Amino acid sequence: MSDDHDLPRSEDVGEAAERRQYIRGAVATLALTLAAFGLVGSGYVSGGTALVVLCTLAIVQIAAHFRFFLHIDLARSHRDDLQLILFTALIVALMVGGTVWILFDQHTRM
Amino acid sequence: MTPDRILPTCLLFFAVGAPAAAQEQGFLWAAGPVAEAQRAHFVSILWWMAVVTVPLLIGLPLILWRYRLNGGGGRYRRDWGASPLAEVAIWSVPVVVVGFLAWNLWHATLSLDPYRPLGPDPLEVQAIAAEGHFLFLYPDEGIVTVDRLLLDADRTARLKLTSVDVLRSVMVPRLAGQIYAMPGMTTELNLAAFAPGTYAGLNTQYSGPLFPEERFETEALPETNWHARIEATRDGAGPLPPDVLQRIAMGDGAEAYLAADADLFARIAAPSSHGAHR
Amino acid sequence: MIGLFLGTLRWDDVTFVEFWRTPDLNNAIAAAAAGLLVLGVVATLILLTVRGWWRPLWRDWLTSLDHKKIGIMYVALALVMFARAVAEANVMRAHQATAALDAGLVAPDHFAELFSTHGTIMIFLVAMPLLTGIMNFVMPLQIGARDVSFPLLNAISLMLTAAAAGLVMVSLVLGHFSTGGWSGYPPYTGADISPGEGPDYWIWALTLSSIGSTLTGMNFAVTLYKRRVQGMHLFRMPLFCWTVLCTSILMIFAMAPLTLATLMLWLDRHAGFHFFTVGSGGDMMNFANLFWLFGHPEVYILILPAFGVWSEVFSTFSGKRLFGYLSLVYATMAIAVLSFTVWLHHFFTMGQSANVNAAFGIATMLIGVPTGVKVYDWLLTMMFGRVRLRVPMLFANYFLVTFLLGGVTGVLLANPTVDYGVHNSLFLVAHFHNMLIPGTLFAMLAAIHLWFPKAFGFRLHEGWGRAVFWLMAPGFLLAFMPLYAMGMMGGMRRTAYFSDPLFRPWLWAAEAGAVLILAGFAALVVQIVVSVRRRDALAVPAGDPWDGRSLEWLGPAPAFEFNFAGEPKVEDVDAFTALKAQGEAYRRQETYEDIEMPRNSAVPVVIGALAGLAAFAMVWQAWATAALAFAGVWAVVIGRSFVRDTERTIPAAEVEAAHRAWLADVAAATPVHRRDELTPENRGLAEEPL
Repeated sequence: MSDDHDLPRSEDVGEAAERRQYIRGAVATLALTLAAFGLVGSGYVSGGTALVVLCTLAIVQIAAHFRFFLHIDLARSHRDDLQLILFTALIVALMVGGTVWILFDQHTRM
Repeated sequence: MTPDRILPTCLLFFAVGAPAAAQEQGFLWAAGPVAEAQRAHFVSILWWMAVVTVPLLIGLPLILWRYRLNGGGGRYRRDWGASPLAEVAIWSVPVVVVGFLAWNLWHATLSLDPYRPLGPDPLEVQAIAAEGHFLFLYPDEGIVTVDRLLLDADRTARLKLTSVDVLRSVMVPRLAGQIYAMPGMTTELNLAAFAPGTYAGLNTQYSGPLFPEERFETEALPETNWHARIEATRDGAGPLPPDVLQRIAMGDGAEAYLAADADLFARIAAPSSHGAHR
Repeated sequence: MIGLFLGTLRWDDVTFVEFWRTPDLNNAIAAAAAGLLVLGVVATLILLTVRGWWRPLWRDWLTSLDHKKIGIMYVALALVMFARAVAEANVMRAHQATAALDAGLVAPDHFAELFSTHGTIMIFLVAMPLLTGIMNFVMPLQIGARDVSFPLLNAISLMLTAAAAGLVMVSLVLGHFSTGGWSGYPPYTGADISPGEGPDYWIWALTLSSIGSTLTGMNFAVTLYKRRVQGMHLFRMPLFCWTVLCTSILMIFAMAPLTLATLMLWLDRHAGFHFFTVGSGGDMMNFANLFWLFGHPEVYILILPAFGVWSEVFSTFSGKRLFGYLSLVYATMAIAVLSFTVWLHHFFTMGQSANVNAAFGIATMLIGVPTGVKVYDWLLTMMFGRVRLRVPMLFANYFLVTFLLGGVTGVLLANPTVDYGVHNSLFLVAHFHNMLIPGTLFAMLAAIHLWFPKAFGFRLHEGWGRAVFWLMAPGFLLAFMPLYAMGMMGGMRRTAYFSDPLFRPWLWAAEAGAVLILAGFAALVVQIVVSVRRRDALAVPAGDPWDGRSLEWLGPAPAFEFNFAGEPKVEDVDAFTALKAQGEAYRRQETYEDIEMPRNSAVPVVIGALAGLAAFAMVWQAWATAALAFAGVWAVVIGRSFVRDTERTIPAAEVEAAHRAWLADVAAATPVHRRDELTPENRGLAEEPL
């Protein structure tokens, strides 16, 4: 209802531009997904290398989602959005980090 | 009851004045060094917390009386919403209290780790928690007892725990705290008693309809009696049948066995023995 | 072929048939519970038909996207489920108290079913809907919004929660619920040990309700970020809104691990997966980890809105500004973040290293700091005030005292050393009921008393409200103080019978307490009936029965459908108090504008019904039915996205007429002194305090 929390700026760029952005995003994310499955399925990478490659692809995938679908980039990021992303990163780090710590500790003891 | 026991009893039992002291089962009636340390830790926390709780218990009735709508004598300041001094106090006092408690917690947790041996040369026992029953294997003595743990009161004991099917939790409250016994895994619990006696032990984790019956007696015997008891048990026991778990479940078990099968615990605790089917 | 549609469901699964085959006391109790449910449903259907209430029910309630009505429906759902779960608590305690003499009332498996449904219902279908309902009703009003950001999604969340409730209710009549407790640990809930439909009922009820809560969290967080009225900066939001914001964020993050864990358990049970099977590379400890990764933030999801309610109650009924607003906001944020760092304290005893336990123990204890700060802020809120012990304030002060005890036992349990001795015991049960009854439940009762007039236009009867308090308050003490004692004497939770005869007096005391709480609930029902009958004497059409401080009190009671005629002006945390002081609260507007409001929709009802059917079919392994219903859900979702005409316009003239009618009510009302706020003179206009 108020002026200072208006809709994301991407609403203004026009429908054609926005459609192009979504198509680029769809292609990029599909390519990344196919690359992940392809590399493992073809047996091109395995073991520790596969883990590193897949993690990298996953992170790029997340970035692509932010960029193309959620319209968040560094240049015109809303301060609220950035705060929320940082908060999300903190919570995910706590949950994942804690889980890894706990389960590895238990793993070595029983 | 010593004053240290009266305090928590009064604080927490004020609802009903039943004869709590008669039911010596929990860690407040400690009979071993670990439970004693738990009890002392418990009481020290109550004292520390009094720093935060007592002012509120005193202040609340005073404020309610003084600032009541009808006839209260207090001044009315409808916009009083901040006071730096009060804010500093109400943040710093809990910070200090929690700081001390955290320091205590760290030391107590490390020194009372259930995995930490309580003395040299502990008695080794392997405990298998099964539906409705506990099996205790004494690898050095070569015997197995059912629903009864025989301890040498002059020696500490180290229990290796596992469970046959579901998650259980093994505790002898008056001696020490509990640790889970899980199928396909081995966990550890160290026990020690101050003096000879019989102490109740139990599973604390719901495991099925027989859960309330999953209890055992812990008998801590003086050293000479313990040796005699082990000998007597060995003389009276038959060999451990391979289907011992099924027999016990059918109510067809003995009180003790000779442990011909030294690998029983290792086999049950092996991950591969669980859930590989379906 | 029929198997595809009916799955494993058979005649023998009907509770009545089971009783017919084996007519013992255990099955009689099960059949009586099922019979009560069937009778209740039939009676409701007859009442709706005879009174001709079907149309209004459909038109004004079920298809409504109005956040206020959705909120009220959440609360109604929670009260129905509360009746069942509190009755179950009574049966359990009566069983335990008599079981020492003979077999008790119910069979061991039935007892396990009772504690599993009691926990599941109380957490997911009483506490969650209660607070979601209150948040739904109050939050948009407090931030000056017309509705939440996604009204349709809001109604879908409600209907998914209702579907979960329906599923748990159906388990009374068809088959059995899980016996694995509300936390459902494998391997006990695995297919080998619990092959029946029980754990599947639990899995799908939780899945439905957790999806609903995730959507609610997103909806509320976005609403609070995007829908605040001009001038309502984040730091001018009433404290309740801050707690809603933190709760919503917790819901977004915390529900995912639960949904994941229950679905993984289902895959283990039916699709040959081994996530939690030790022998095949799985790890049951990860279930505990995932469950409590949800479970601990959940605790704060349940308590933070309560803290928000207490903040509103203390300041409103002390006639005074909230003390330490900033402190309370930062304390709330601190609790929200810390709540993601403590989950391991639910399994200190799983055998991990001492330093892991110590780290999580200290993190747990840190929560004591912001919580302690809050308690003292509330105490100082009453200082220099004019305190009136109305029903919400009785609950609030009772909470302050009992919360101390819960806080002390919480700090005790945060210590791994102490936890080793009382984990899984009745001490723990007493601790979390100590937090959830005086904390969450009483806060929601206080909230109902506080905001009922805004929802329905009349106050709740004060005398019967006091009866509710004076039954429930001692009831709680009687029911749970003995559990602290029993827990420290080695009494474990979920125990169907205690062979030690010395426990018996304690058990009878606990049973007496459970009866008092049930009686308190009955008094609440009577209170609502009495208040409806005397609604003319209790009416507060001018809208401000308690000399309120925040925006929800601006406007008539019951509220306008569109909440506010114009955009309210916000210049202070206590926005409404400021408006009243400036004499602008009851001013005529120069101009009125058309207002767009969401059109009613049957989509949420259809989605809820189909999702409930899909879940029910999954429970009974009726794959074809499940697939069809699931496809139906998505067909409706996709179909709805093509509907463009989702809003309707309320013309400016209609807004003006409604606004003027309210101003006429205000003009007709005499301002009352707070001393007289319980008399019929209180028509909802407060006298300026001196």
